Amino acid sequence: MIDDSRPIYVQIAERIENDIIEGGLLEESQVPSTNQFASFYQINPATAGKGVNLLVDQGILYKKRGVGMFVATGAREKLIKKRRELFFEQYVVSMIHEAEKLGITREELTKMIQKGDKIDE
Amino acid sequence: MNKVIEVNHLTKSYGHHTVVHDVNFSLEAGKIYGLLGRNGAGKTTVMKMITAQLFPTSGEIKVFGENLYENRSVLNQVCFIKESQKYPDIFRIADVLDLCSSFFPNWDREYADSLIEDFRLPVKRRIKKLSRGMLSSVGIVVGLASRAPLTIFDEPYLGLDAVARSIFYDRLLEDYGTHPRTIILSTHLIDEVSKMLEHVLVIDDGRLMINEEAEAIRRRAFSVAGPSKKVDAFTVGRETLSREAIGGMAQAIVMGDLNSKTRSQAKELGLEINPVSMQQLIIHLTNHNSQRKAAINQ
Amino acid sequence: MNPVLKMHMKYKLIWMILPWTTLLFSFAVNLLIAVLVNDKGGLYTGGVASIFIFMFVAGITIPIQTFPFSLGLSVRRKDYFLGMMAVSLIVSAISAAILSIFSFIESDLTGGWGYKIHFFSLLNAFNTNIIWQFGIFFILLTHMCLSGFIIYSIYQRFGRSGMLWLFVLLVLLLTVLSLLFTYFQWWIPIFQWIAHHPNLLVLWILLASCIYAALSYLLLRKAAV
Repeated sequence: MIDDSRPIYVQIAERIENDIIEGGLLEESQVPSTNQFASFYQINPATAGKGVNLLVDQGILYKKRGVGMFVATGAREKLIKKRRELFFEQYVVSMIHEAEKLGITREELTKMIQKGDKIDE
Repeated sequence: MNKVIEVNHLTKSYGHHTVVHDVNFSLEAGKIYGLLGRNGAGKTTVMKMITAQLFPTSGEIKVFGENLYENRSVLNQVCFIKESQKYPDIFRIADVLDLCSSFFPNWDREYADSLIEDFRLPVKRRIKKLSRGMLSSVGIVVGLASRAPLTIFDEPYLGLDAVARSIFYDRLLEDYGTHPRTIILSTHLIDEVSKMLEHVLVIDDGRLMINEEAEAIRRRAFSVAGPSKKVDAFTVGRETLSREAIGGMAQAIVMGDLNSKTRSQAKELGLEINPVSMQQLIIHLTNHNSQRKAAINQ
Repeated sequence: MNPVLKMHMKYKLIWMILPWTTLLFSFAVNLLIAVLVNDKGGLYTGGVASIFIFMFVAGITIPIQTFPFSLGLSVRRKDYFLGMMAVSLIVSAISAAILSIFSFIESDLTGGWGYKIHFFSLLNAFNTNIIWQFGIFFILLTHMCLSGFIIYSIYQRFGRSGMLWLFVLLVLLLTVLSLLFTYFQWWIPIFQWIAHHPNLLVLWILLASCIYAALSYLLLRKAAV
């Protein structure tokens, strides 16, 4: 569920992003209403609206007057591009920091990545 | 005018004992407000004065721009459900609801019936024979179904279990979505309601301590944990709310926004950074043993 | 309809049913005794007093439950007061009408239900006119109700200490008055005066009722819940 780590509206926006990336919300399909988000997560509707508007500003969602919010065409591609840029900073850098702390060498790290890849299959 | 409530220099004293000290605030229409603070901090007294059930010693209160006292057209727009709300013993739940339909012009009978079902209330049972939780549920039904433009809930869930409280939050948010109005939730169960609030007022010892957006309060403090020496190095020159140590490790709650600069500084020291929940923050701010209190009180 | 009046409709038991059941039961017992002992000597009984006591009790107890409830649910103090006045007048009128009709049946139609009983027709000693009797019953009933209501209003406005002061003052006043009456030997003249001027006494009672009502309103306007 929603936690206190970051602003709630940011977390709402991220959840919608994840849903689009994972294919739960298809392009040109309707997004749940602000009130539905508010009831589901037990958060203030204004906060949910702020999260949705964040994505509208980025062109991920768009508003159809009197109907509701829809996922824009090309939204998924756009999000994946953004997340890829974040991936290095969020995951790789912190992994390397932790590895250094534990004295894991680069070779060991590479091996681990290869091993993890196999587990996933 | 978009102000639902305006309170200026509100003070209430009993003899030499002052329970509300010069409180000032104004509330805007259509938001969910939280009125938070410890028991006995003066929350109920403030709300009773807003609804003219109690008379201020001094100060001015305007509700929907008018004086609410003996003003029927404004009173009609206000529904205040207090923990200690009295219901006549001989009434059945059905009688209470029947009367509420004439007390409140926006009363929605169908909605009240559906809430009665949600809370599994026995409408034929007399008030005298209801459990504490059922009595609280009656208050919640009245508060929601009244659809009053200003609805105030003061600790509305005494005796209610987590399931019933969750039903309350769900129904409140649903109905607020379809029938926007100004809602004040007064409670000490901050964790449960903090995410529903748009704006928060904290009253401590009869004084208004915090009056700001909920999102801003969440960013007022964070906690750092790690080796004691490094924690101390980090907290130098920073406003610290609390510091606890165990073995060689320490954890401190630090006031201030968690910007990228502080974040990287903590990272360099190898400290772990965690958010502080609204409840934790308010507990620390209103803990009277805290020496830092005066410094934080703005 | 005034919502407060609607609320009082839910108190039919205390306003009407209980007082009248008690009164009729008391009447039945008196009648039964008269029949059993076959007493035709003109039985006088004060059983009718119970309905006046009920009005007094209702004037205190119903507001205890309904005033905080009403104020808590956004009812104006003035509307509460008006509702209470309306219900006390309506109930008094209904009860006074029944009492005076019974009195008429008792004295004029049945000769004391066949046993010369004076249960309802106590006012015949002054005047047998049914309209006059209705008026007296009505004024006395509202007086009892408003006496209860002013006591409640003092309690709600000044709390327990207010009650205490009220009773201390009342006891002092009554003691002083009775001492004065005894000292100056006013008792017999006063009773003679009352016996000869019942209408004037009732007017004084009516005036007192109006004062109680006005004071109750002023007290409740400043009462917190």
